[in-house]
Amino acid sequence: MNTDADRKKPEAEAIMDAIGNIDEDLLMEADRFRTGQKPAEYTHGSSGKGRGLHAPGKAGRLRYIALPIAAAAVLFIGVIIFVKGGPLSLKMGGASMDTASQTAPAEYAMAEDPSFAEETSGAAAEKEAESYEEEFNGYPIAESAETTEATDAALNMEAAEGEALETGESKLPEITLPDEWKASGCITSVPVSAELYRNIEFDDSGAPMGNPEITDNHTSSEFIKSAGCEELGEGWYYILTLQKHDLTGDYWVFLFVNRDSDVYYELSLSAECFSEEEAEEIAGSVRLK
Amino acid sequence: MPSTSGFCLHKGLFWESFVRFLRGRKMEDSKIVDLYWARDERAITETSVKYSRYLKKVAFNILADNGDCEECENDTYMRAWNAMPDDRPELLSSYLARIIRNLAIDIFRKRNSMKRKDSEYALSIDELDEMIPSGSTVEQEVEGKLLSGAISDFLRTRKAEKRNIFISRYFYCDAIKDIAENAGMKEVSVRSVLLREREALREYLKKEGFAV
Repeated sequence: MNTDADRKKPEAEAIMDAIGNIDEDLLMEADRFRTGQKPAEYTHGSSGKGRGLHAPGKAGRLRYIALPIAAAAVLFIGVIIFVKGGPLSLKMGGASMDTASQTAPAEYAMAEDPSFAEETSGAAAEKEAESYEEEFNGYPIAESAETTEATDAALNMEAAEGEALETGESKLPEITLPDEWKASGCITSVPVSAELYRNIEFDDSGAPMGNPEITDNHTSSEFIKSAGCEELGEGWYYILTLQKHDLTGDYWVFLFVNRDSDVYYELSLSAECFSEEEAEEIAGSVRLK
Repeated sequence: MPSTSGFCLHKGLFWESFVRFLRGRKMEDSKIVDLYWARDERAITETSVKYSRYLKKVAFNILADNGDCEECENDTYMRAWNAMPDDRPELLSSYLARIIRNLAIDIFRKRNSMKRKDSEYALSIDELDEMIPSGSTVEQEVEGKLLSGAISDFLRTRKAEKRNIFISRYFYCDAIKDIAENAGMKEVSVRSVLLREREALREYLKKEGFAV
C-alpha cells in the first residue's frame, strides 16, 4: 500500500528538477547571498551577520595572514644565507661587520654619508681605512680631564675601538659607536666630508657660520652657540648643539672645527648628567695630542 | 579534455597557482571563462583552485559522500569544458553549481535505484509502473521547462531574502543551520520561512494549472 509520501515523491522530484533549471539571475542572486554579498534590501535581524560559504573561516583568515609572512621570512633567510654566505657574516660596503657591531645602531655620521658608502669598497676601502686608522691614532683625548665621567668616556671609547680593531675586520671604528655612548659621553673624530657637517662655512676670520643641524629619523638638534676654542690651537672653534634622540635621550654635542683642518672632533655629553655650564667646562678641558 | 589533476604536471601552472595562493588571490571569473573559450587547460586548474571547495559542498549537500563528490566535481569540469565555447556565464559559481547539482541528483537517484534492486517489492512496483502509459520525453521536457518558468516567476514575486533562503535550501540543498548563519537568522525562523514559501508555491502552481 502506497503512503501519501510515496505518492508525492515523483512530484517532489519533478519540482526539484524544475528548481534546478530556474532562471540564471535568480541563481546568481542566491549565490551572492550564500557568499555573504547581501543586497541592501536585507534588513532582517542583524543584516550582514551571515558569514557566507565563501567567506574564509579562521583557518582561511590565518592562511591569508600567516602564510605570506612565513613565506617572506623563509625567502628572506634564504636570500641572506645565499647571498651573504652566512647569517653572521653580513657585509657592508667592503668592510665586514662583526657580531658586536651588528647590535649597534647604524646612525652615525659616517654611516649616513653616502659618499662613504660608495667609496668603501675594494682597494678604495682599504685606502680609506688606513687614513681613518691614522686619524684615530691621534685622538683628541682630554689631557687634563677634570671629571671622571669625561675620562671614563674617553677610555671606554679607546678600549672599544681597540677591541674592534683587534677582533673584527672593521677598520672604521667610529661606525661601531653606539648612540648610548654618545649620549653618555664620548669623543670621536669626524671627517669634514661627513654629510652632517658639510654645510659648515667659515667667515673671513675663520669663525664658523651656519648651524650644523642634525635631523634624521631619531635625532633633532638645537643650535646653542659657537665660540672660539683657543685651548685646541689657533683657528679652532666649537659649536654647541643640544641633540634630542628619541631612543637615547638628550645630549650636548660640541663640534670642534677648524677651517684648515680636514677632520673635526665631536664631544657628546649626556644632558641628563651635565648641565650646560658643566658640559662647557668639560669641553674646555679637551686638548689635541 | 585535460585531466583535472593535470595542474600537478605543469610546473609553471603549479607555481602560478602557488604564488596566487600565497597572495590570497584567485583568478577572476571572466578570465577563467576566457581560458575555457581559448581551450586553455589552465581553465580547469583555475576553476579547481577557485571553486573546488564550493562545488564539493554543493555535491556533498546532496550525496553526503566524498568519493561521489569528487566524481561529480570532475564531471562538472568536463561538462563545463564541453559547454563553455557556447555558454559565457556571467557568474561562474552559479553556472557550475547548476551543473554539479544536477549531476549529483542523477547520481543520488542511480544510487537509490541500485538499492531498490535488492527489494522484490520495489521491483514489482517498477514493473507495474512501466505498464502505466506516460507522456513522451518531449512532453516531459516541455512540462519541466514550464514548471521551471513558473517557479522562477513565483520566486520573483517573493521578497529577496525569502527567495534566497528558498533557493539555498532547494537548489543548493544547504543545511538549515548554514542558511540561518548566512541569513543571520535563527534556525526556527528559517524553517518557518521555508514552510510558508512551500505553501505559497503550492498555491501559485495550482493557480497556474499545475496538478500539485
